[in-house]
Amino acid sequence: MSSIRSTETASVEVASQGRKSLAGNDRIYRGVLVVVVALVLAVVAIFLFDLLKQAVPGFRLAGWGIFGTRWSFASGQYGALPLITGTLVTTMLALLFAVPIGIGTALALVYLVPQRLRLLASSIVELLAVVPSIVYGIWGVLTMEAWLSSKAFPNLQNWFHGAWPFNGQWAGQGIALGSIVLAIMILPIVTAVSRDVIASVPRELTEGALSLGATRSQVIRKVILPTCRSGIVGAVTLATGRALGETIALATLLGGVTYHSPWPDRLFATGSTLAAEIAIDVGQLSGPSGNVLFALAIILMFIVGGVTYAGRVIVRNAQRKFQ
Amino acid sequence: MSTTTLENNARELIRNKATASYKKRERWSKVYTGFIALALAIAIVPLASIINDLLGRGLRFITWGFFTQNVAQPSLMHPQDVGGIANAISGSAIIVGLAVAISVPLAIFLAIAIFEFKNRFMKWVLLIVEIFVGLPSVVFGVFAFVALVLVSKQFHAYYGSLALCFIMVPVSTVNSVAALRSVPSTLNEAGLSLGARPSRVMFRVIFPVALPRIMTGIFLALSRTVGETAPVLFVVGNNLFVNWNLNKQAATLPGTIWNNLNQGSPYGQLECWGIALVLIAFVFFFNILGRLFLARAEKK
Repeated sequence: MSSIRSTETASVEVASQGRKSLAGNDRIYRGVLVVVVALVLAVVAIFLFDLLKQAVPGFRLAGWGIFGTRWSFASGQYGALPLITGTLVTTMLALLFAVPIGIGTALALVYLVPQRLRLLASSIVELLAVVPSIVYGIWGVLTMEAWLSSKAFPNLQNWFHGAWPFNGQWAGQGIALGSIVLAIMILPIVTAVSRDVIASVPRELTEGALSLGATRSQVIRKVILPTCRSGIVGAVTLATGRALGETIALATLLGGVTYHSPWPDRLFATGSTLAAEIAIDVGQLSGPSGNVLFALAIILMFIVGGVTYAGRVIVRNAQRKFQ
Repeated sequence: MSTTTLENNARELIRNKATASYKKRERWSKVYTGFIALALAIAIVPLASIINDLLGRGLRFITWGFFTQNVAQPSLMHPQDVGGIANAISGSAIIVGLAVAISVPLAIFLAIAIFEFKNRFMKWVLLIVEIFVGLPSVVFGVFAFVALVLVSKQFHAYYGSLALCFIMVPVSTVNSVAALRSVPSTLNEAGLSLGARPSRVMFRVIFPVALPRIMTGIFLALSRTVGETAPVLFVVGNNLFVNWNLNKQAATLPGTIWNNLNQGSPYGQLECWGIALVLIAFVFFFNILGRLFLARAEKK
């Protein structure tokens, strides 16, 4: 009797110990974990400190002109607005293409593709999502650029009679090429995540709608898409984050901010993004103007952080509406 | 009670109206379905082109010599030396290998810490890690450059590994935390109530259950890390020879592609397709391995 008693109290004691923070008699475990966390936080602190330490002289070098409109790294003009605009423009164009096609492809994967091909198609989409960006850079420069400058651009310019945004001198590289390749890069991400979300809609909802006499498109438009809204917003946020930070592919494809094309104001212009410019000018990192690149990095981090945060807020609000 | 003509007419009217509406909705439905099919077709075209180029232009480089020779060094003796990528393969292997060796234990222990210490401070730590997941890799590249290269005035291969850790650890940690939390808490409570120390419960009970999902996440992070160019490019320099020494400079597969694209000969640019094929082979290998692992574990 008393032995059962003592076992009970002992187990209750130990259980309550586990529920609190780790017990004192597990000191090595606790110690190791604390050291790991401290190490990681130290690295994070050094990261932020170094980044700011390098960026502040850059901001000071450029002054408020960092938000100026003239960017010419070699000749010391550090107005970053063309780069910021370039970043936003390429990302928005890429999203404009990738989001509708991506969601449409996801819907097709779930509802059009025959059952036997479904696993294969989904695997292909997921594999495409992890293709390294430099491969897109290769394809863009060696294949897409040739096609665009010889076939697509002249035809587009003729077709629209030189109206904006198809006006002006075109070269192979530029905003159009960069945006298209960027769109193709984020397309698998949008498709893969959207496909997961769409496939996880409970069957009762679709079957209920169908039994009420809705057509397939009505089911998709009025039932599935509203249900998946927060998931799709999450997918788009992921894709946007990747597009904003894309460095290597865009560095080879955009052609840089030049005298003839100081501003991404038309599709055929060349330009640059914050990330790509850092990669292009990396040789100057140790030079006197290298700090400006860190300023660019900080601006980029703010943009990416802001967009990601906005995406999370939207998702959270959508989920709250559900409850 | 037989139905009157009026009722019959009314019923006729309703049936026709319903059918008409249905016909109209069906027509729209076909249009929307057409849109979706069109989206699929548009999505396939560029991806098919990439695959076609990769295989069409890259396969010719896949020879035994490609994997065993170093990068081309045309000289008077061998003006047609085409070379291979053995140096890049060795460089990538040691850099990624060290990165994995550092990242995996670090990520797992960090995840365990976040899982065990359930206080407000750790919530902030997890938030910081999640923020790092979304940062562009070029930021880590420039940080590694100033923190390592500028300080020591040298390039080393292990600098690249350290930079890659910034990419692997956050992703692996977030995934591992989710994996640990997905273990039913009854297991944890049962272990503790039997009088086991928390560390024993973790390593004997919770961790083994979460392990498949953790491993999958690590494989996926690995497949992404192999293809990362920016952070490694800035800090490891280059090496024309096969090199297994982490202390020296190293060539990497993505780095070689970058150099060929920007400064190389026309042959170098074509060679990029072959290098890309090798790179993608590794990326896909780890990705498929990870997902097979998960499928097998879930089957059990």
